[in-house]
Amino acid sequence: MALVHLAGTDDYPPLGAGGTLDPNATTHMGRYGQDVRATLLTMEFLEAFKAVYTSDPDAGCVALSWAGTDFARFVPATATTLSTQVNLVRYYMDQRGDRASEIITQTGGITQFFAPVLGVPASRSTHLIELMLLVQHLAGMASMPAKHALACRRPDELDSRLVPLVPTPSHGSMPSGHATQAAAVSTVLVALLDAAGQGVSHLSERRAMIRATGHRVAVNRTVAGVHYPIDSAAGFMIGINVGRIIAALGQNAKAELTCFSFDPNDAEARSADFILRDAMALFEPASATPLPGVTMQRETVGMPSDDSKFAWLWSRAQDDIKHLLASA
Amino acid sequence: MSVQVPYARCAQGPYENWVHGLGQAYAHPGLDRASDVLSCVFEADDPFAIGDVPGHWSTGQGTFRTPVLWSANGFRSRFVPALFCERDDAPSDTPAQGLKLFADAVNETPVPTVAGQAAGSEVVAHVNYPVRAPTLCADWSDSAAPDPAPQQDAIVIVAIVDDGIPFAHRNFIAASGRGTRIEYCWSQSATKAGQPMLFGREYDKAAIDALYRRHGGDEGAVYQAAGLAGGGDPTVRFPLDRMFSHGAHVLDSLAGQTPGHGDPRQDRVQIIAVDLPAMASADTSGFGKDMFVLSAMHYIFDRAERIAAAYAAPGARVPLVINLSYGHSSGPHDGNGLVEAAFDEMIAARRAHHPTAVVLPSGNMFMQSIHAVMTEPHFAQATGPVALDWFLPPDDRTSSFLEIWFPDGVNPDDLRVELVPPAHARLDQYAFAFPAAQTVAHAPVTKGGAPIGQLSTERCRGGRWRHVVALAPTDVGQDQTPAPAGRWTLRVTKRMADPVPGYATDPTQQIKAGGLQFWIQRDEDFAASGSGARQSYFIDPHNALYADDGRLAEMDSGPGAALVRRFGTMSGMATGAHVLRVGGYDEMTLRAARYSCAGALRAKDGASPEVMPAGAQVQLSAVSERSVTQPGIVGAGTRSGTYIAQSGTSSAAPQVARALVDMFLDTPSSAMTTVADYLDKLDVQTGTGDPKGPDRLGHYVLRQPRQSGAADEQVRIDLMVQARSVDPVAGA
Repeated sequence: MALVHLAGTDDYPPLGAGGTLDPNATTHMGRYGQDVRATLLTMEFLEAFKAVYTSDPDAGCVALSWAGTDFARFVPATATTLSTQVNLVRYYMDQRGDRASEIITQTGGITQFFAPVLGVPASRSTHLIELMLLVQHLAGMASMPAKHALACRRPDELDSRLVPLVPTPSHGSMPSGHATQAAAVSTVLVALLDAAGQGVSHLSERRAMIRATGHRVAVNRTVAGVHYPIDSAAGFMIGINVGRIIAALGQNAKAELTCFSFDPNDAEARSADFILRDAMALFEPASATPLPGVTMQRETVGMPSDDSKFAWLWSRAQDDIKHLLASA
Repeated sequence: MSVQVPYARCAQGPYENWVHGLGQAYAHPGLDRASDVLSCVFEADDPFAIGDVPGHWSTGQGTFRTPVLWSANGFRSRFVPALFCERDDAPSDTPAQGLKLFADAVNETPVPTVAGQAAGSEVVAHVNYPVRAPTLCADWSDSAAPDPAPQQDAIVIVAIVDDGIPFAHRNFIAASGRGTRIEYCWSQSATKAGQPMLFGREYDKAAIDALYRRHGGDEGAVYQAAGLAGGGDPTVRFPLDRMFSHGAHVLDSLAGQTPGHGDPRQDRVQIIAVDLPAMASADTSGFGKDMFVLSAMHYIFDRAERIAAAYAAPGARVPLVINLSYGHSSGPHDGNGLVEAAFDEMIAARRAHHPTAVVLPSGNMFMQSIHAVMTEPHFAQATGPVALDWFLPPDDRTSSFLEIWFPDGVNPDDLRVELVPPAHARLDQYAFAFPAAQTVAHAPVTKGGAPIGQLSTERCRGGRWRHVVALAPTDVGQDQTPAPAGRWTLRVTKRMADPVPGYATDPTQQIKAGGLQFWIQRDEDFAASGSGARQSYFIDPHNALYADDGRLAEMDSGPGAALVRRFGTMSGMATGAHVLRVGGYDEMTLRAARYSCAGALRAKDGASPEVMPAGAQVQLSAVSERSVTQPGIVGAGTRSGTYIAQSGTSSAAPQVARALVDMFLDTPSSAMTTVADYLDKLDVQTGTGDPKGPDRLGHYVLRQPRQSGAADEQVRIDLMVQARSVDPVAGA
């Protein structure tokens, strides 16, 4: 208080033009800290998100929807299905030596595995990294009610030999949260690159590498011994749509969703692995039945508002990849 | 009266049928689909004069061409390597069309064209991988032999067959300073500079020295000028683009010297090198490189004749020591494999005139559960079929291959084998049977009608039967069906009344193979080639993986129950009668390196605890690990001044070859006719090593690591220390 007298003692007049902040304006996002933005964007996303479990002794089903449109429907895996899937988890144990450092790092987040594909230095690309972290946050949340509804035992409950490389989380196995996050991040990054257009250097190669990175993150959880391949598949089905919703919000556009219905107990699906080719078939489905046990239907969803707060972060994230443009 | 002229036919073996036929849709590392120049090996029943084989012969479909062939002293062989160049307007858009053209051309080749007038001889052609088109030079002619040197000397020739041969490296420069000691280098995948060969280029001493001078000692520029580095074609892997290559390390162990600190005696050592295409080491099927390796041997033998004529006194014995640090885990393991038999013929023929040694590593798969044997006790104890589980790993981007070899006199009807896919794999059948016994036949393993594997039955050279299983990758691209990862089962039903023959010593002291033998083919992502290969292996609950003290078990479990065998993993390529087999050991512990393969130890009479060595064994060992904490031994990288530690029996073999060369420098002109002669000579020089038997070091152990190289090592270290020390006074 010792210095306040230097500003005089008179009352101040009101601020001039713009002295009154516009109510409810997206532009205020720049005034906030990251934590405030994250809260607001989480709220905006969740306002339209729903997870509903329909009970049925034969065909119980969890449906995830956004703005009233289902984008993923899953049937709980039976004990028979899991007894087949758990063998695949064991088959992947051999690869722990190759992947241990990745797996352990990825328990703390996956951003740094995508950043190199875009040449993203943290010091310059704060908004892009903020967006990637937010995408992981939202994707993780979206997967959780599905995990709760499907109530799927973890692999180490079914096979004592798996001794997972990382602590098994307390929530259910299907869908995989890491797979959901990895697919959502992949989808958002590809949408950012596509929006930037053909000027992006090595566009198709980066697109392929981003998606392959997403797949590898998901498979790493199987190698670790904490997820079945069907968990990765289900996670991808959620994550791809979460990514598209965020991309649509960011661009104030309609969301082009692919509503996946997945029955992991399908005779073919329950013994299926989830290899890169399968991940690609979900990113860009070429048929109405992209994988065994999976049907797909395209839906276009209008946005609840034409002034999403995501747009603020999206446009700045877009600026953060400008260095990839040949003209930059 | 005209006599019906017999024609050659295609062998249609299991590997070629899978790679070029049923399994052609899958990725095969090293296979250049763009090329329509197929390589092959012709084989006759009886030996024929190699000197009479034409340089080329035409058919309606295209022309066969032969590379440099060794034909000195009327050499006769059953095998001849060749290329098939289809006619320009041939419709060969698909591998199947290319293979059809090849088969038609073989069928149009009269037997006498290849095998002369050897009456009654049958000739078959084994197709291998294609030769990369830019490396081909159809109208080549062989280089000229050098003029005789003014001074003849007692010389020794050392040769290497490997990949990534750094022919401009300073470690191969003569101590006298007169340029490189590499007399000839045939780089099979080179496209520029040097003398064009049928495929690749030859760089002789003059060419290497000229290239080196022209590029001011910039080795990268030399290799780029040869088309061996610097990219251009992203689909081709160039080992010399990397800092380290297999061939650089092996050649340095074999013949390298530190410049300025060399042994002048080494100037009497002439080096011949053959640089195989990089695909030869990426190939996981084991058959793709046969033509390349066999033509490499012919080249080396031929150039050795030239060197002898130019540098050695007339009539002098000129020793030739060849190191071939390659291997595979398939084959009959009785010396009757194609490459083994061909090598043996060449070695025996040259030994009649000159000392000749071929040194091969024993292999690195001792601990990988890739070998199993079913013997009479297994069948006697079992209530039903005897089962062996085979694990196919997920995330494997290459095909997996398994060979099953029947003992002499037993055929596939006596022991009927079935392949049972993993539970829940939902293949088209619960179990798949092998085709019935006929010369050669293949049957698909299918899922939804698509072939994801192939079961073959074949009667091989030497009369023994084999089955081969090929399974698709477990990770595949679009529009392909993967083979399911997991536990596949081989179920064997004994239908013969007599006991399954066990290993037995017959009156001629020949040990005959016994039991039903299984080998999984090597399937590794070699030298980080990016093939995505993963090794499959057997699962056998009776095979104890750990010893009582908690260490990994390096001895086999009791022969009555366990099927998996560590002993018997010996590289198939190293099982010929006339080659030297080298294992690797740890310098600190003087024990065999854990991975070092060994020949079979078999129970006498099936289940008795007494074991005896059976078939090809490790004859001697050299250091391949410095200690548990310092893996590998140090050798050169691709560029002068770079060094790397490399593990494996590949690193041990060239030390033995070098010891032989040193021995020949000391005592030239020895008459050496048997493998034992070579072992005895080495014994004199190095002292007898550890005992025979389960420590698997062989009869002899090379005590001094790297021979002259050990001294070089100290010099290198001194030089490095010198270079990095700054004299504080002088620097001030």
